[in-house]
Amino acid sequence: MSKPTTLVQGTLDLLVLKMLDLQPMNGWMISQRLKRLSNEVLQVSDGSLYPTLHKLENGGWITAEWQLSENNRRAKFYSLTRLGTKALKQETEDWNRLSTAIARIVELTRA
Amino acid sequence: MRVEQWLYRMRLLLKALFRRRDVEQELDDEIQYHLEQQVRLNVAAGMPEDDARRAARRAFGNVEARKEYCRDHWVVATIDRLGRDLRHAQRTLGRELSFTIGVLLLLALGIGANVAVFSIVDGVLLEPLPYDEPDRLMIVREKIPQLDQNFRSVNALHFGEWTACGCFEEIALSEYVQQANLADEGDPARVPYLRVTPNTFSLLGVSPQLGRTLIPDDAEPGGETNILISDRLWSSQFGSDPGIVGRTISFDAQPVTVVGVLPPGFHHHAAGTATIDIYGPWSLERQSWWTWTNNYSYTALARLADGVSPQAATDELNAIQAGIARENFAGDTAALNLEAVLIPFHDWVTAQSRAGLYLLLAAVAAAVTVAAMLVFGLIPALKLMRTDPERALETGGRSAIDSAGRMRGRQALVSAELALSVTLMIVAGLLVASFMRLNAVERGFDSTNVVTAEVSLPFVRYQDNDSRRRFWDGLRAELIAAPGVVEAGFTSVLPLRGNFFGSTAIREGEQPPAEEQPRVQYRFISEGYLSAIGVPLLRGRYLTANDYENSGAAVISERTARLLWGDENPLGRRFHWNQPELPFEVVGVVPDVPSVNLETEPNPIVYRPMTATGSGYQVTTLASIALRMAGQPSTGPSILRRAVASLDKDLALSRLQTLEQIESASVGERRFQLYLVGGFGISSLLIAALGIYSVLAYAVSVRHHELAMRMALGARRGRVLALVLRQGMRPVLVGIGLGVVGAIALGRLLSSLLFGVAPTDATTIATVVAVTLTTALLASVLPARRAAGTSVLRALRYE
Repeated sequence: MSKPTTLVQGTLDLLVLKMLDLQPMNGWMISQRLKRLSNEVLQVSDGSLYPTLHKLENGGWITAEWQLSENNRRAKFYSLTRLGTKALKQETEDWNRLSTAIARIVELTRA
Repeated sequence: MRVEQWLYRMRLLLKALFRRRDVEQELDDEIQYHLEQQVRLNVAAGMPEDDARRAARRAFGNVEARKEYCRDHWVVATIDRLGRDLRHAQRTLGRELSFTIGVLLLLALGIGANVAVFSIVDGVLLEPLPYDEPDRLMIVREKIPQLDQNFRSVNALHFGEWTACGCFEEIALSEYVQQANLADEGDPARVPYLRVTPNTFSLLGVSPQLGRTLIPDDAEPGGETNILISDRLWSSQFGSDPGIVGRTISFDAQPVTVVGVLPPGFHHHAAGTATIDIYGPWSLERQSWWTWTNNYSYTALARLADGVSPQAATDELNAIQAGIARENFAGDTAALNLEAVLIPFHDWVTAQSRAGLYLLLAAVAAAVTVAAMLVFGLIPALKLMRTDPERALETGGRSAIDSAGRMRGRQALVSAELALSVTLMIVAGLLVASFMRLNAVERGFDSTNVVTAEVSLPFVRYQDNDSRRRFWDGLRAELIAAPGVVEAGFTSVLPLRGNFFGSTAIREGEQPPAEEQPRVQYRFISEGYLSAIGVPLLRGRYLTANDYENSGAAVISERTARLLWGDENPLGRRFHWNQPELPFEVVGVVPDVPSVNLETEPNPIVYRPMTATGSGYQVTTLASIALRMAGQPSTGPSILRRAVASLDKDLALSRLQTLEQIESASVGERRFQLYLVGGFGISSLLIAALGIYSVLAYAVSVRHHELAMRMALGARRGRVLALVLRQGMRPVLVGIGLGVVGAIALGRLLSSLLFGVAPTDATTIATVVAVTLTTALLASVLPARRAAGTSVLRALRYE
């Protein structure tokens, strides 16, 4: 297996929004889910997730609430706002356009 | 963004502001939770507790740094940063409190002055006039090129021809401003009064706040008693009575009807600076005394027709002018031409003040620039030097090398500062020299202890010459009998109050062509006037009370005598203005008296008795009184009021002023410019001196070690002193040179503001250079002395 890939600038926002679109989660859950779903390819340094969460919260895309976690501890759970849902849609479209474009170029073969 | 998101963010902000501890605790809890979960997972995978904890932390990264990144995203972060910056500023500035306050004051002063002057400039020069489409308003002026150097006011007959010009949407005319007696309830008042063609108000686009403005019918017979009043008069004299429209009031003892009240703040700029209280209709009804080549005394204001350029309108107007000259100039004026010019109304209104205001603006801008240079360029050097000269040495030669380039930059700043302040000071010096020369101008009269006022007799009650002469003679008798009065007399116009009536003066028996006829100013005076204002008699006699009824007696000024008879004795000579059948005979000669202002050469003047009659002349109804008192003229006004009331209780006095006030007002604007430019010049020199001091002091502190070594090796004190001074004076000399060049370059623009002194006046320039050099030397000597006093031991100890 190759080395874990560093994230393309700004894609962490998209990934976090997508995670929260599935269900409200706390930071720990997000980090674990990201690792699992990407087959450990996306190695987000655990700590760098939190500045992103605070940025999205203060920007109004997600809201936070203290709830009890599955092991009965108090944890901060984030969920998408309507603005966040809209942002997710936009970011997803952007990402699809970008990745298609890059894929098309990378897959060129010599004539 | 939606409302609920804003509310959510607002809640985050408020929470961060007022419950900061809770917010920090939550951040801590959130990260702690993550770490504990990781530890739990690690332990479950078989790690020992301690290793599990370390691994969790490693995976997370620097906790404190992450927290800081989180805080950076908070809504409250902007406020946090501002607070940090303020605390930092407070710490650093607090150390040099007095210095900081001084610099702030200087900047505040500069900026304040800048704003003040700019708002004047903006209001006077840049603000469009408050009329409809002011760009299309033009003042029309005309001249006969063979007779007049400059364009002047217009002839009413010519105006009558222009109204047909398709180049104008409308053209209006206004007379000269007059004063009239307004008697209603209460005290009689003298109010400024202007007659205008009724279309003036539609031309300007002004609507009344009450009633109507003037209409064409008002200029027809029967309409001439309809008047408009100003908002000021409406409130001061009529208590803002809403029923004023239609009311009949007594105006110069005649009944007139108020048809409308103008809006507050309305000012008709064609009347100059005077605020007119009553507008009456003027009609183009031919007066017997109008001629085609004289009486240029009206102001014409036109609105260009839509789409017509000023140039096209001027061309069209000049075609009409050529027609006027062709058809109406006859006899000895047949060969004369007639020209017209259009001046944008705004330019005409601001012409007086433009040069002076730009000067002020430039002076203030220069002073602020000098202050700003000090703050941004030189204070850092000064602070460095003041706070740690020793530390500058501790770092050895490094700081000296490091700042060699910056030192050159600072010296350039000093040069620039000095250049600006030298330019300012030379301009100020030229203004001072002009002012001194102006004050030394020969007045021909003596203004001490003279009180003046104006009075006019209402035509309806003083229709014949006898009643008028009775009034003037009676008034003079009352006045000279009053205690403390030395002499009293009347004149058509006082010195420095402008020209009033100019005409030709033709030697008896000659009939030169129009363009060669000498032109003089006529003044109509009473017995006692010339001695009241202190005009001495040079030859012959003054006019007396016996000079009336067909009297030809005239007193002339020296210039008139020279103009008409050269060096010959003018006494007993005869001349006339344009009626050979009524010759004047010279009975006396007096010195010249300036009529417009001190800087304009006095006009040749002919004094005629105001009570002279014959050949259609009438005793005047409007005159200024001059009252010479034995001592301080403080009782003058009450003496004047009592004397006038004793003869006619309905008459009011206006323009009550001492002759000294008139004199001082004529140089008032000049004095203001002088103080302002002078003040800025001196303060910018002081700022520049501070700049020189700071740069040199810093240079000395940097070279401390080197200078000490030189002295240790035997350099004499004087040599070190000279070395430092030389370093200090180089940028000074460059700056002074540039400043002198700048001032000379500016000279041409300045010449309109100067009097009797060339813009390149050597004395002024030399004085300013000397003062600047002395100041610069003083500013350099302090650091130089410190350098020369360097102790070798002390310098070495710092190594």
